Amino acid sequence: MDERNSQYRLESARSGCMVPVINDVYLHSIYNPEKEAITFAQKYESSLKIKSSVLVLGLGFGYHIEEISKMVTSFHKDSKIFVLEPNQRLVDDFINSKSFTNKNIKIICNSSAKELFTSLDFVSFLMNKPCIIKHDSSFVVNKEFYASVLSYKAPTDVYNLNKVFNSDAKYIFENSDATSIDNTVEHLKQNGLKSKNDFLLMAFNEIRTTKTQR
Amino acid sequence: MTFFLWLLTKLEQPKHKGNKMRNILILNLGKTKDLLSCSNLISSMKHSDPQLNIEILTFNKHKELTQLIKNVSKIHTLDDEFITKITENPLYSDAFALNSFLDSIENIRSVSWESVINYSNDSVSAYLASSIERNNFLGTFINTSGIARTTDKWSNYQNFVASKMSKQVITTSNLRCHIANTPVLSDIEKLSINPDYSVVAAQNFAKIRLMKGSPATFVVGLNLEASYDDFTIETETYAELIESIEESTDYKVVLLLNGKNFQRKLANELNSRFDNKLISINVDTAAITSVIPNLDAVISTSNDQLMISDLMEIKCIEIKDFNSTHKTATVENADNYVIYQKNSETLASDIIISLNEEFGTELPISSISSENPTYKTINDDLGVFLSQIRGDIEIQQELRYHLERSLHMQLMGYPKNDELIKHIKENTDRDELSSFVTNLRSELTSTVKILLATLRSLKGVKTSRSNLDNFVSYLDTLISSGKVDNMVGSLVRNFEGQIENIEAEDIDHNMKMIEDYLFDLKNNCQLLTNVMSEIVTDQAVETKFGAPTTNSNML
Repeated sequence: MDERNSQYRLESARSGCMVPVINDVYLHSIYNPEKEAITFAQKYESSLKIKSSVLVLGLGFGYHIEEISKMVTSFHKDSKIFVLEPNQRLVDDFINSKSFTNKNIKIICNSSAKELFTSLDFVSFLMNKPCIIKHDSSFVVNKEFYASVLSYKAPTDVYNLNKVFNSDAKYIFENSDATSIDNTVEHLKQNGLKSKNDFLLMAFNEIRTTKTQR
Repeated sequence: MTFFLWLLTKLEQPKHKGNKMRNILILNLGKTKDLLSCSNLISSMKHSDPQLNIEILTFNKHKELTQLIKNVSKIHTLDDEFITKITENPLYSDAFALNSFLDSIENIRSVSWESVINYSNDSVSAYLASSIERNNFLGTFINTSGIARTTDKWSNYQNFVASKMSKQVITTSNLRCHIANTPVLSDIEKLSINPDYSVVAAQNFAKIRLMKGSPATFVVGLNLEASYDDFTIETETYAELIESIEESTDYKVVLLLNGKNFQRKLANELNSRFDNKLISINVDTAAITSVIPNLDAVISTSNDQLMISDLMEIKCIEIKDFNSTHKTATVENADNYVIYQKNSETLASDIIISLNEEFGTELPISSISSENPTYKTINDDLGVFLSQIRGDIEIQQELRYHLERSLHMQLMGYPKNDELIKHIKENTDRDELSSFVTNLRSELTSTVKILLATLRSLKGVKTSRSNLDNFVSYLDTLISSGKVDNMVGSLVRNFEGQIENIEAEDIDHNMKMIEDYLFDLKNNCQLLTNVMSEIVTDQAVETKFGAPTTNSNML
């Protein structure tokens, strides 16, 4: 059993809404989660006016996300919301009981920051510099995970790059002793370029190191 | 005549250049002006051989602009912005960037090309060139030692000589057409026009002309876009210009905007001064080729809109910042005007004078004299060049521009330009000529000294290999002397390119090639000495190396 679910249960709020409780932490108000969600979303109104992409740290039972969704769609024609939640059981319970009507909301369930950042979909979303909203109670429950996401630095060694490389990229580093792309580039500069792949890598290096002008 | 001369120089090209191109890939990973400029080459190539399949590799951000170029059957794109965003941010794995790069060029690598051309002469293309299957490559490429190599004397000139010049003496399209072994042709369509937009644009412009009561009204477009190096025409200049043009019955002015906020603000400011009667026209990428052909003239700083106007053979008045380091004009067709702004107060008058000259009108001007140098682009047997027609003249620089152009074209195999020498002799002040010769002689003397010392040290190497270090030291000094942007420096850089291109099997062969190129450089310096002598024919040229002479015995 996942450690984070060691004390997991769903309770009914006074309003009748379901509230997940993890390790004795209530993820939403035990009185009226929907009303709480409205107040929560209002705090981010000015940010949501500017940004159409939102990354929410913590699914809870989705009340706050519904409100964020209403607000962001009122400001932007095209919006996208990614919800980051490491607790699979919570995600399963949520999907089985209600889920989201807005198809532009995507729940990403992953408990490893390293694995999370191997997703091109997630990385492409982050490149749009989304508004990041922390759901406090969810964050408290999974503090270590969210902290690892927020302080993440991608590994630069070939072993880890290989986990993301496509087949052509893997082929370039096949049978190579290189430890990183930088290391390979330096090696080529010093020892010359032998194969077509060497030239490709140097062309790639030129793009990443040279700012092109209009 | 121009075509004949082009043919003449081509007869001297190596045999591999005679290969007929079928499946052509143009690598264009430079700036937007490189991209637009390659429409000259593409149209000429397609005109010469309609069966050609021409494809382009460019950046994703330039795709829309590339779609304007006629006769391109496929556009391949690289997303450099994605790649740099990924690699600059430690949050993201560089693997995504490499994946994107490799995916983008997958289709290019799966084709065997008849010819690949590094049109924009950029380093990414220079590396890519060696990773693509092709029968023939044209331009600059990187060899296995990581050194820049060139495929012919024109690309050698482009990469080693022209790249260090603040003002180009051979136009980019002329140079690059020579690299691709293709004549420069005018009077052919280079850019695509949307027929639907064109019909609407033509109807609208007919109405605009009639606003002045005649369908023969000249419509002048004032492009509000900034230049490539962010130079803008001052609001007061625009206002003065609009006032003169609008008061005239001959002209109607329109403002050209491509959607930027500063342009809207400027258009609003100008409109507030002219009772909101000014017409603003959208010239974004989708609309521009439909709008531009309806104009009689475009007044603009150096930017894509100006370049498109020039490619569509509309009369252009290009405004450049006199103090900019980028001195080369963007317009490359004949009969355009280029004004270098030194003093903004007289710029409007300079522009109006050019309009009057071009259209035979008599728009009033506020200032007759101006410091701003105005040039007209003129076509001769060597291509298009800039000829100063008004403003402060810096004779020494003008002499250098014209003589250097003539010299390099002569080195490329074109006939000697005797007419130019004659013209200079007849029309230039003797003191100015003497001053020019004195400076040139000084440049030549120091370089020739090093050159002769290098040749002597090379002889030493033939006697003993222990003299090699001495020779290498002289050779380095000689190459370093080419870093200066002057006429002799250009010759040395040409030599440097030749040296970089040597692919010798052994050291003796290598030394022999270097020796040959050193003698080439010596001959080229001699050619320059001859030019120097000729422009002061009746004045003996005092040389450091012997008796005063009037002919070519200096070296």
